[in-house]
Amino acid sequence: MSLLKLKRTVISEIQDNLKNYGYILVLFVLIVGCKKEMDSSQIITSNPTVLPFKKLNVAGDPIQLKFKDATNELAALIIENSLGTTVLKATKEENMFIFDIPKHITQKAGLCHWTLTENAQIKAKGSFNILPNPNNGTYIESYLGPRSITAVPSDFSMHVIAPTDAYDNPLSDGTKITSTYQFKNNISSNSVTMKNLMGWKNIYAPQQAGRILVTANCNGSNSKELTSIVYPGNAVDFNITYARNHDYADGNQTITFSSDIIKDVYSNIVSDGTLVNFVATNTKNIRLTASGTTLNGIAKARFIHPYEATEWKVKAYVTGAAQSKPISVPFKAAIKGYQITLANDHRLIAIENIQSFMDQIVPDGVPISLTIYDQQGEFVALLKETSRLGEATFELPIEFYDAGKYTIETVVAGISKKQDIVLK
Amino acid sequence: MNRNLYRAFLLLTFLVLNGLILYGLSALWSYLNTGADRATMLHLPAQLTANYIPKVIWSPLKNEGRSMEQQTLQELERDYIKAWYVRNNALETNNHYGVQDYYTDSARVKIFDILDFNKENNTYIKTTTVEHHPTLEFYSADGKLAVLTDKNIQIHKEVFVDDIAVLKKASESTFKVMLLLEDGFWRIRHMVEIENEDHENKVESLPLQAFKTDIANSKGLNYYPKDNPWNMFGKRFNDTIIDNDFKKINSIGLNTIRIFVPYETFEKAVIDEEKLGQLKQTMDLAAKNGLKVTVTLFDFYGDYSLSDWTLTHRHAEKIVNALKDHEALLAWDIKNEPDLDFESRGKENVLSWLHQMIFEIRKWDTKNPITIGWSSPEAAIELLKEVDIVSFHYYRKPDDFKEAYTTLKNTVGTKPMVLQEYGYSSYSGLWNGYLGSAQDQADYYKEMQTVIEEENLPFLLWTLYDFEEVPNAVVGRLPWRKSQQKHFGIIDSHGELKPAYHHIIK
Repeated sequence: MSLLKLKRTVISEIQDNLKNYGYILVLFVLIVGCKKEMDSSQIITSNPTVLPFKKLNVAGDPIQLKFKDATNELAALIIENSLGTTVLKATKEENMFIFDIPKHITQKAGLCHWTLTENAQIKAKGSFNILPNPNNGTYIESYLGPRSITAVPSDFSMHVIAPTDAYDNPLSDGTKITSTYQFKNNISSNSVTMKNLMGWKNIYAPQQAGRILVTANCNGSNSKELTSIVYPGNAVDFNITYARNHDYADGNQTITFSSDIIKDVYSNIVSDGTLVNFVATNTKNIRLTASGTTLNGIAKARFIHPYEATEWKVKAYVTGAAQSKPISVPFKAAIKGYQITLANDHRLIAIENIQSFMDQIVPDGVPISLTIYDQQGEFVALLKETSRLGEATFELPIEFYDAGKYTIETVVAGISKKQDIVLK
Repeated sequence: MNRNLYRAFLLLTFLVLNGLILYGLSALWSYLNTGADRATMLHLPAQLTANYIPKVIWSPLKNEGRSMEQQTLQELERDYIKAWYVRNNALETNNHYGVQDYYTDSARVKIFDILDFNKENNTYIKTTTVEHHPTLEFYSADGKLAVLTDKNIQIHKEVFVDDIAVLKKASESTFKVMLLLEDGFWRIRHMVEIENEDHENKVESLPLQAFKTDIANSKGLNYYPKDNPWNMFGKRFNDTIIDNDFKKINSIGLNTIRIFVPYETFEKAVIDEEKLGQLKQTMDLAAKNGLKVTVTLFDFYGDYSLSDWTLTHRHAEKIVNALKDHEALLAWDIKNEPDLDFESRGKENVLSWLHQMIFEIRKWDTKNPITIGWSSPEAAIELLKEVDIVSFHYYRKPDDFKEAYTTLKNTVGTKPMVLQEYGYSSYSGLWNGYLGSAQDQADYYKEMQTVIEEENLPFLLWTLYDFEEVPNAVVGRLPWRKSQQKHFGIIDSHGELKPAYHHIIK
């Protein structure tokens, strides 16, 4: 590149730059110019005064604020209501600024503060109140809870009613509301006065189980229907009875215990499904339990008959609430006797002829035990079997039981027999 | 040879290519294996960290309906304050974000109306509330509806149109609020502003007698340890060194120190308990060595925005409550040289923050005077009415000091004044052409002390030691400023008193 050419390039570059500077300069002048204009507006000060306005308004009514002697274009009206803040721009009319408050402000009840500013200087301020407007209709929002209660004097559902006007503003304190409820044949109304944005009424549980229907009425508007279910209270003490096919302790039949109709203190039948535990205690102080749930107040539970003669004391409980009077249930022995037959050098012991109360063969599965003692009376073994077709056999193999003298004791259905045997 | 190179190149390219393909495949594989975050299945509240913590003072519970459980009250308070927070945020950004979590269907549409209107008109509002005084009015039997009256909420508001502030105001408002428990949130159903009860909060300055003598006699210095200036608390806190320093300060005839509590180092609103302990320990050591302490809060703090107010209030609350009864405490200095932030943060913002902070601290501490460490006598005329002591700094020529002081004094009137920082660097080096010296410093003090004694002005000089290191946050990175800053001490780096000392203590 020749020197001349270089020079030229440099010069043209400088010229380009100068052009840019020119633009920048023009821009700068513009900016400064604009700024000056703003400055000049700041110099204009006005002393706007507000024209009389309604201090108390009703939601939805148009509200207008007018300021006279207002000249500053930059005037802004700041409105603060319960939910937020908004800035309004004026419409100008002669020597007056008019601000039309937008609907979302005029429809919200509560205090509203307004401030007129010019260049961040407060020129005038004030406030007006907007009251709820029940004339265009009242809407009732109501809550009922708890929705399930029991028929006891202390329990209640609380009915909270929050009526609003057409613009969803809670009505003023002191507004009368009627809270009505129906239970069976009884419909009663209570007058409630609004306070703290709502009114409330406790609806106490009646003495009967059932459903309470609740509604509210305010300024001629009605709420929807709410329901609270009254469940019966806790069970009170009750009686039990039993039914069985026969009174023999045959270990085969079942005995059914049933409660009478379990009720609460106001004679409401307890809720279906109330759990009742039946506890039977036999003469050896061993407890047997079974449980049942109520249906129409009656709970049933079944036990199988014992194998041997005994007497049960039976009591039923609704845990934590009520119990029955105890009843006693005797069982007669069903098995009267049996035979022991020894064979094969006494190594085969057969228990035979186990017969029930009509001399019938006992049902299979009667437990049979055989205890073996040695000559000194020391325990050797306990063998267990169950009957099949009225008999059972025990085998004493030579590998386990040495030859010698032993005493055996058999027990079937509580009948115990002792016998000496000699194993070879 | 060439061929070998070619082979090697091919081989390498092959390897690299394979590597890239494998990498690509594995990236694709792992991408396909990342599922949606399971937590997105749940409707969780918008994550709000503790960035809005106004003071909430409940009136004793005497509400109608069901008696309130403490647990529920806490949840109610949490959601109620968050409702304020999301609404403040929404009004600032004109964005609906979060509003639906804390306002019921019917309430939120009204807020959305306002937001949409403001968005259209390019209006936004910065708001914060400082203190809430809720009273529980009603709590329903099923625990799903509550009504409260929040009395005299202090609200601070800045309204902007087209990014120009049109209004700044502080006001008190009272609201009746109905909340419903929906989806596990207490949501605002109704919110109605009602008239305030007559009750106005005012900042009253302390009666002068309460602290006059302590202030009038104070002679002292701004204290930082030699080895960790501007970084006194934390890992480098050393009580032995501080104890020795305090002994030394006392022995050279001074009775007051000024220390600084950095806002962020103290973990903002949370307050690092360990550092607070160190601060207390420092105060104990001062008391032990017969020194009174001016505690300067909010060091290195520079945001004054409304959204930050409640955090700074909680910060100050914890420190003030921890130290207000300490025998060594002389005064609260709210902020060091806040006037230097006027330009960058807006004078109005800084002043209203300071004003509110004085007001808050006065609520917790009714005994100790409050001051602000203005950077110049001219700046010290701000908030004159609110402060108990007028503190100012002076680093200009001693010749002009008397005049500047007298001008200020005439404006101030009877309130006590403190020359809270002044001093001269004895730096002599490359950056000032080896022109400074300890003698210059001594001359400075000689001249200054004459006026100070004449006027009987309490003083706190800058500073005890020459420092080895100065953090960038203090005077910036420029070496000539840093070097100056390192030599303001009245004790040099060898531990020897500089000649200036003899002019200060006679």
